[in-house]
Amino acid sequence: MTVRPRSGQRAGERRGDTPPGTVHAREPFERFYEREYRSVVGLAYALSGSRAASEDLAQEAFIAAHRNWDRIGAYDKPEAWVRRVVSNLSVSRYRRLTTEAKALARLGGMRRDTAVLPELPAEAEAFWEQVRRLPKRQCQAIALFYLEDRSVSDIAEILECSPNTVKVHLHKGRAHLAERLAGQLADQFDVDAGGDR
Amino acid sequence: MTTLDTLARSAATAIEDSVVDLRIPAAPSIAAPLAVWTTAKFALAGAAAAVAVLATLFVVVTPTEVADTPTTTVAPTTTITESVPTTLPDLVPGPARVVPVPGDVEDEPVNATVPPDTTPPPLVVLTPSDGEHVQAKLQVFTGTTEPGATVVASGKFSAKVSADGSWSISLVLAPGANGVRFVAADAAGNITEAHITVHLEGADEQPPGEEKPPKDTTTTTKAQGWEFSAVQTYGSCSEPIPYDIFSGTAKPGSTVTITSPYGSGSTTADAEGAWSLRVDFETAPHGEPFEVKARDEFGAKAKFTFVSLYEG
Repeated sequence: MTVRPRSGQRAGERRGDTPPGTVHAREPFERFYEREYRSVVGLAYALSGSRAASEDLAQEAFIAAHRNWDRIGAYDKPEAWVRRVVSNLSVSRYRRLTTEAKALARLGGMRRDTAVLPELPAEAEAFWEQVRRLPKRQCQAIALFYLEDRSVSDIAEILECSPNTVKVHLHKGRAHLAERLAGQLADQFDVDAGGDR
Repeated sequence: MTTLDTLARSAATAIEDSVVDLRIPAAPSIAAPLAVWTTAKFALAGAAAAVAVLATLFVVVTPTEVADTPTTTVAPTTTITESVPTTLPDLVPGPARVVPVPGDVEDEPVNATVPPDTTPPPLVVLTPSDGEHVQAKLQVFTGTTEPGATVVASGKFSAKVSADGSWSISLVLAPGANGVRFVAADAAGNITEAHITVHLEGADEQPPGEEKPPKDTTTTTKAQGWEFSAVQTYGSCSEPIPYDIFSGTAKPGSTVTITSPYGSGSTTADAEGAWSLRVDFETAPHGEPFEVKARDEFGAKAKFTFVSLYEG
């Protein structure tokens, strides 16, 4: 096996990604941060299900953005980048915690909640719990669609996929939710994911 | 009683309400991103102690555990507070200004320099071993790297990396020798590469002495002055809707059909006999290789194997 460390090369760098010269952020990071902070925490809360960890997840994403603000701040939609990061972190955390919770349950242990966010109403909590149990992409698409009221094209940009793929995720996600939340839904569910809003 | 949309909007409103009164902590700053950002408290004496405490990240040193003079080198006893998150951001290279918590120590703020992380992450491939001969097309590659690092195989397949740095990824091998390149990258952008070769043994392996076809297997049938050939681009896919792209040559204007249990399609060869077709395998089961056939309208065939690596 050949191991060749190349510390000079940066991960993710591709030739032509960054034009020669300096790239300047369009908006001060602080203003972006203050505008987006609460909604990003909300997204983390919905996707991770952890009141205690939501702020940590959001902060982790913002720190990453801050580190590279010259580049990320120059994007057309830096908020999409932060949401992509926080949604990936949150889903990963939820899955990890779910596994840990099962292990703790087997051992008879309990998780201590150091939450700072208020509890959700039972109906809302049940809804988001079912969302979190969806496959990753469906989960993220549903959260962005309902929580942030994002259009299909916006979601496609955030998740780095095509609008048609987003429609598929929304369609399947809503169908799964309708099935799993049948007890809370009386009316006939329309599984048509709809077009771009 | 409510529809799904109504329930979803109500649940979204509940989330929005839960964060509306959230206090926004100070934004990270260039001068002291960590000191301002976290809820952890720093207290230290002297530049040497500053570097030591920064290296241990988010620790609390009580006043009684710190020497009084700024010039003293201190090896502080540290305790991690309950509120400190277990996953912490990396230090930002460059100058940092560490401010003692009021009341904890009387020292002036000290300046220290956080050295940039230029250490490449370790990367070890545990299984299979380099040069190993295996019988199964679907191989699970495992190894270890730095916690938090990413591992990518063959430039496009991301491995699952656990919190402890162990990683795994399933790859489909072609008959014969398969060279696999792994690249681990840490948060600072340092990368390490590892390359191993695994030999897939089996009935369809190329006999010794014959040139092994490229990974994208090509099958050719020649007849009547034109040639039917088919090439598979990927062989596996980790996208939610797995797909592969097939291309090749056939009689100009003839139809080429791709069939499989989980997705099919057809296309027409152009005037020069070239054809290309993307086929989605939307319902393909995770990790179960299946056969994909390409054929022209004159009976020439090519067979491939595809596997979905999407675990959603």
